[in-house]
Amino acid sequence: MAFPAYLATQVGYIIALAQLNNPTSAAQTMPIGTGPFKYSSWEPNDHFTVVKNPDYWRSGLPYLDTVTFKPIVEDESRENSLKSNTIDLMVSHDPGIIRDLRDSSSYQQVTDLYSTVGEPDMDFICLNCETGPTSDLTVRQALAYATNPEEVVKLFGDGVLTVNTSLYPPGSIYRPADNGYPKFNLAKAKELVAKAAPNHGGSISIQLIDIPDPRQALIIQALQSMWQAAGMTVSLNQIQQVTYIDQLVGGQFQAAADEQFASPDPDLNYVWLSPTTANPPIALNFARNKDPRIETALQQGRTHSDKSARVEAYQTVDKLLAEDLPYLWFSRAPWSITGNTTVQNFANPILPDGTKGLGFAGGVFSPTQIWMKA
Amino acid sequence: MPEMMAAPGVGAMERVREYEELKGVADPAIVSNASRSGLGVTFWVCFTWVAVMILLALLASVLHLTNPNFQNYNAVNAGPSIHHLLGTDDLGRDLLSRIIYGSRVSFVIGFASVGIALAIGGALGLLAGYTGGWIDSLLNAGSLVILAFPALLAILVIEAFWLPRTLLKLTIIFAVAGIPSLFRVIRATTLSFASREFVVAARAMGATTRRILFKELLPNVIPAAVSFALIGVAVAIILEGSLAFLGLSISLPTASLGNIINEGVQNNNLSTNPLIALWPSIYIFLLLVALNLMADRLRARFDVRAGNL
Amino acid sequence: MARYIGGRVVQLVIIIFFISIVAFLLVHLLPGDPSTAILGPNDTAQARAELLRQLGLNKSLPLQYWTWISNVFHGNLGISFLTHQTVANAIGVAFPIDLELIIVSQLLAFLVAIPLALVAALRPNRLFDRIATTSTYAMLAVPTFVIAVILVLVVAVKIHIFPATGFNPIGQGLWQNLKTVLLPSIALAVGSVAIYYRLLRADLIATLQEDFITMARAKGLSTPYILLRHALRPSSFALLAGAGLSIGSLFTGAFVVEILFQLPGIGFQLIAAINSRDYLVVQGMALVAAIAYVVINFGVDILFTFLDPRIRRA
Repeated sequence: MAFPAYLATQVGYIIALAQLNNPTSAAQTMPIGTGPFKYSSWEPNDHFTVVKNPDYWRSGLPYLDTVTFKPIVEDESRENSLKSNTIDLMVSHDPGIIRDLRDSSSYQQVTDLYSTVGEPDMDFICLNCETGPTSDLTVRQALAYATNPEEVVKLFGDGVLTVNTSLYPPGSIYRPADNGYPKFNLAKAKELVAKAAPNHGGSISIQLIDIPDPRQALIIQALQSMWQAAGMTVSLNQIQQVTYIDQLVGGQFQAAADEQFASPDPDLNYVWLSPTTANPPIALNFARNKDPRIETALQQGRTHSDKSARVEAYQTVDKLLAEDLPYLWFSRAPWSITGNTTVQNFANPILPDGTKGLGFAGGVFSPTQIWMKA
Repeated sequence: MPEMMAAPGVGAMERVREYEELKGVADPAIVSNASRSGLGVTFWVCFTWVAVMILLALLASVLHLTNPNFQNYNAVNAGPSIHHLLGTDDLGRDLLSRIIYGSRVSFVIGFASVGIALAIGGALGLLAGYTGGWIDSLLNAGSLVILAFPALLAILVIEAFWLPRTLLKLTIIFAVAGIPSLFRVIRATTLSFASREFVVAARAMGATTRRILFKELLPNVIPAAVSFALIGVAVAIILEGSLAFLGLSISLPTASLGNIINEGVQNNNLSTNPLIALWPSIYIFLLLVALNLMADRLRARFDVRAGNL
Repeated sequence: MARYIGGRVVQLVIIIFFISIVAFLLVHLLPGDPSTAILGPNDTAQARAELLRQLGLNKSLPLQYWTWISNVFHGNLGISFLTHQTVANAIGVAFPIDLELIIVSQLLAFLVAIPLALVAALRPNRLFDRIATTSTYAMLAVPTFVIAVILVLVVAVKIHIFPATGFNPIGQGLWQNLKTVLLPSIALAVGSVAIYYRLLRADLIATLQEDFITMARAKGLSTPYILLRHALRPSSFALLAGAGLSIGSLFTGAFVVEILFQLPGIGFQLIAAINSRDYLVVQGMALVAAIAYVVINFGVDILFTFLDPRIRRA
């Protein structure tokens, strides 16, 4: 079922012989591909420019002669660059900026907040089910009951996000009516902490890691405050992305703020959820949750082609995740592209032959069908 | 102290004033009123200000302040009121409490690191300045090499890898960075006293090196040491603030002046609640002006020279 | 004189040698190596050993230092494992930004300091002089990041004239470029304004008491004419000396400003490289930045030794 989607990932890329023959130096800085644009120039940390590929297989496309990509690290800087017309289009992940730009008539915006291709990214805390205090289900339950997603969304959702305590967004066919995910209950959390503490030397102390991002910094401070209210000791550690990924993959973490799971088909999340990928040295199932029932359900979804069997399988996955609690859900993680009014055909794109163009998924969009108003 | 980073101006004032004296031009600033006999009103105003701030930081826990990390989600970004004299931040934490607790970090880092640097750098400077010879040449060359290397760079690299960042580690790193500067100040001052009559006389009377160092030279070196130590404290406070902007100050959620300002400029807070950044900025500004003026008055009063550093 | 300069050159070479060792050790003595970042999910014991061998990280420290430094002598600072760009190229792109920051900030500083000094020196110890001179204490004490916060708050957030952060290369037009460079330059210039103002003021006051000025006054020349045509030039040696001597410190000052305003100069790139453990870039940039710093200071020092031999004794 998911085969077409897999073809559009790394597996399906056609690689140029020249690049295979010469995997070092020049080949890595001058990519060759089959896409609508050709490499023109790259200045790391400054810009990456591509020009129209005249031999592109879809006739009439792309419309643009050149596209320049500029890495601008901070969302606010990007917003300012858009407002000063330094750039035409920007991607943003920040709900506050998504809201500001959405509400302004000078800009047009596409987000995956309301609809998307497949499933969107989720914001959550990943708990290590293999080692440390979080390997104890009672501790994970205590953390889940101590976390108030309503408060998190109220504080950091900027009026744009809504609570979502499931692997799937509202409206998804894979989302069960009730997955059984614990509702915020401080008294119950305290009770569970008291029950689990004797098994952890009398007190439970947890380290929460995250990358050094200003918005994330606030979120983890709020979580720390909530978990400490339930009687746990919580320390925060902001680490660089490189180290952060090392620790996730290598399992040297207890709790980690994470976002993941955008996929055009639920089967593409197999590698992140399956017990078969939870083993050292490199576990892509970061939480290392080894529930065999999840594997069974994932296999059912993968091997069946009829819709109802797949729906049942993936609903089971969501229910089992709410039971095992490798992830503490809050809300979906929004992506958006905002452009000034000269950029045409990037929101709900229509192709020259009148068919619908590629939509927006997981923060990725296609510049192929865009043109600029003169 | 890595004076050259953070604020290109810190430490430059004494050179400017020496040049003005050379030219016979007075400094008409209303704050520069020290005479050769006293420290002047400015010094005592600044001293009182800094003393009150230090006292507040020391007594923070007995002052019945709100817990600086307590998050009141019903009072997020609240303006100044009777409950929160300076308002609250974007997590509903009391800003007054955070600034007072945050100033503790600045004071500890500032005074402790400079204290350590002064103890080590000062002792070596005294020794090198008085004994001369190969010890002096070696230490002097060593300090030049370390000073030639942009200190900010070394601090950044060390901090990025030496986790987690605690008050103790920051203090140690700052102290090490400050040793060569304070060494040079004390060495130069010692040199200028080492050939004076009272030292020569003491030596002629058979005083031990130890006695000369501690009884004759040390008391004379102290004014210069204190004056440059105050500048050092100012630089350390600036450094903490600069590092906070890189997320390299003390780990969250501990408040430090730099951390609060950094939080205040992020997440669009400058538009939604500029007070978060404004209060600690004003606090730091007044503190640094006071420290610099105190150092300046001390130098003028005790005729401390920086020319030969 | 020749002997003095010769001695200083020897000193400089020794210092540069030690700088290269410090730059090398900084990266190599710290925990963690770049292999984790390079390998990513392909991290197996065998792949790691192979990579360490490729990077030469399995050899002894002195040998690694020797390999690195002899490459540096051949102009090869290595290649970033993240962007596959040569370190020399990355420096070539980043350095002009530092240079532009320094030049623009110093032009601004002169633009403010010179008129202030001219007005103040005309009537020393009067109200204007007292206010201006007093405020230099504040200007020298206030840290760059506080100036930056206030500038961004007032100019970028409240009035929306300039972007708060980011950089537009000069290729996008001079005005687009200046819009991103002006605020950081102002933040960098504040300390310089205070120093230049006071140096020039001191010289001007002394000059204005000289006979040839009295003579010019007697001839009935206007005050602005005397100030600009007769007094300014003979009074500007200390100003230029001050400017020369502060180039080195401005270079590291620019560092902080770049980070605050997100300008991709040397300072900003270094942080990015440190964060991604791109160790050859860290090593190379640290080396070049530190050498540039000492060489600039050395050059300015020697220049003034020629101009004013009295400095030599200091």
